[in-house]
Amino acid sequence: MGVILQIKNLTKRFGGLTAVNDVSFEINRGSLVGLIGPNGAGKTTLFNLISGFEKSNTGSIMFDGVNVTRFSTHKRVKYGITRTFQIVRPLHRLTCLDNVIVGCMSPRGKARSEDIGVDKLASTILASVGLIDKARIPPIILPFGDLKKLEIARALASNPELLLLDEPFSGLSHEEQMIIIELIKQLNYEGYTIIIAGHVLRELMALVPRVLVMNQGKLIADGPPKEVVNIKTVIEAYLGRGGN
Amino acid sequence: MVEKDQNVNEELVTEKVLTRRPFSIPLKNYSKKTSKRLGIFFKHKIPYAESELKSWVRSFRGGIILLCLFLVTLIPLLLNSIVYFHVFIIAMVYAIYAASWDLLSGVTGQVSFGHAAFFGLGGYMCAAFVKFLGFHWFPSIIIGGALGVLFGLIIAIPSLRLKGPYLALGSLAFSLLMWRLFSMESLRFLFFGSEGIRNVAFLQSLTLREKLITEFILALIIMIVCITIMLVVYNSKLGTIFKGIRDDEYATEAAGINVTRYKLLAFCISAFFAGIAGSIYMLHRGNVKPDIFMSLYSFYPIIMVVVGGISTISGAAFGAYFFYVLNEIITQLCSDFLPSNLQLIFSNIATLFFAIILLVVVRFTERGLMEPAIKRSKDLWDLLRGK
Repeated sequence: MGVILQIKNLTKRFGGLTAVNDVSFEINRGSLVGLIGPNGAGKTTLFNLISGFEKSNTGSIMFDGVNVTRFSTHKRVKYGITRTFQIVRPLHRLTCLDNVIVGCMSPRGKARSEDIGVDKLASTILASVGLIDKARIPPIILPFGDLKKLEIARALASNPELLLLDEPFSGLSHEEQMIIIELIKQLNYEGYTIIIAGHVLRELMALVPRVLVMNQGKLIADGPPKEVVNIKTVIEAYLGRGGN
Repeated sequence: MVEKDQNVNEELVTEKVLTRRPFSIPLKNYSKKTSKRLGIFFKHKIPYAESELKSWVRSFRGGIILLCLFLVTLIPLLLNSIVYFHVFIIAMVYAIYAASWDLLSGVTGQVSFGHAAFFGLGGYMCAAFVKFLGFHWFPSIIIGGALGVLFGLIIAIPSLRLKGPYLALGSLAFSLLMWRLFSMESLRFLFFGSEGIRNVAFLQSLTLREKLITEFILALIIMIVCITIMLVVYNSKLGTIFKGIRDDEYATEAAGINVTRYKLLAFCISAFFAGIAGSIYMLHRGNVKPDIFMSLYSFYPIIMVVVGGISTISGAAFGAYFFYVLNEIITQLCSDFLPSNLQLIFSNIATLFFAIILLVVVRFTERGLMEPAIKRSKDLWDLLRGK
């Protein structure tokens, strides 16, 4: 096991607003980490910075020993960092299978599909998230839970090392959340390193062995969920000063 | 939770969703393999598509497309009138041109209002090679296309940052820039001035009738080849990537596709075929003038594709024929049947009628004319067969 992701002093400013403020942490290979914080804490911006959608002002991102700070998004996917979107972005006029095939046409996905072929690989990935029934259906008519699964399937298609899941549980019913949690457990068991951004959820805290807490761009806590929930600053972040 | 052993339930899939892909590469039948990384066994096999081309030909859609192609070839040859040859040759040129626009704008989503730049540059390059460098016309057509690609890159690289309406206007600006450059008398030594390139020799040794028939057959073969290539691209994985870029560029980028590279590729392929169309147009007319860069020639493929069906390559060809042949028919009818004083007053009355027809077509069809036409003829055919 080694360190797969090393974030050092990452800062992102939008004009006068500092969305991510001097954040540093390390993620070990194969670990499952949660990233929580109230709305506006900077979780999605942090994901944008790690996956390449935004360029940081200062700081560095080392992935697997490579300095990826100035790499474009698709180059980072080539090195193994993939993310999903909080508001799902399916390719709406393609079928579900085609959605995953687009992911499989990335360099890593193509390398992985060399022995079995892109169509087979895409079907396998769809089957593993449970959408194989809907392979030839466009995502427009699918329910929201299936769209979230499709996001994860498309991220898996590019054969990543590190998966950044941006709010994979939001907006789902309890049963659908359990399905996604099982899927995430399965993926972590198979060796993917996963960072889940989300809100404080009973299920999320029960799922991950380590949690990073952000508030107003700063990283205010880092540790097992049981400890983190009792830290004063974390409670204040969610409930404000003077709350219990 | 993980649904292993799922077979594709074909009954769930409606006819509309399961599209036939006659020109895609047939899927091979791979044996079962354990997926090492995902760690699950899968028994699911993709249905083995044996000779998709044969099944397409036998299907209704394929039959009707082949029938139309057959009629299009046959009508001018049967009627044997020079006018028909001329009309159908130009229609074929526009078919290739419109299909190239559709590939860039309908399939990849990079809407271009200045496609005439590629069209005209192809014509000018081919004319220059035939007249001044003495090349044979066939390699000149390819060179026209290839140099169209070069100029496509010159346009595309700066436009990569532009999206949506800005790309459309930028491309329009570029084509108008071409118009100005090629009309300027002071730059005559480089850009041939306002008279363009005249008297390009093409099949001079034949009579007019023989020349037209030869041009017709050549244009037909080139059109079939070009549109087939574009259809292969459309149905391939490359086409899937293009459609992904159209649907959501950022999501495609997030999935690991180098969107910039594929956008450039789309520009190049589209410019290549537009250049070929321009070359054939030039060879048929025998000359090329700067007015080929006018925005009217940029809007022709847009109208044809919208009428025929956006993001279906065959719809572009259908729209090109529909637009151009109908235009000629209406012009002919107006000059034949309308009283001459009316013609004097409304000198463009044919255009007026044609514009009204276009408005009606665009108003009442959502996704173009080709799909409803095929559907209606299929219903008629089923009715005739007694279903």
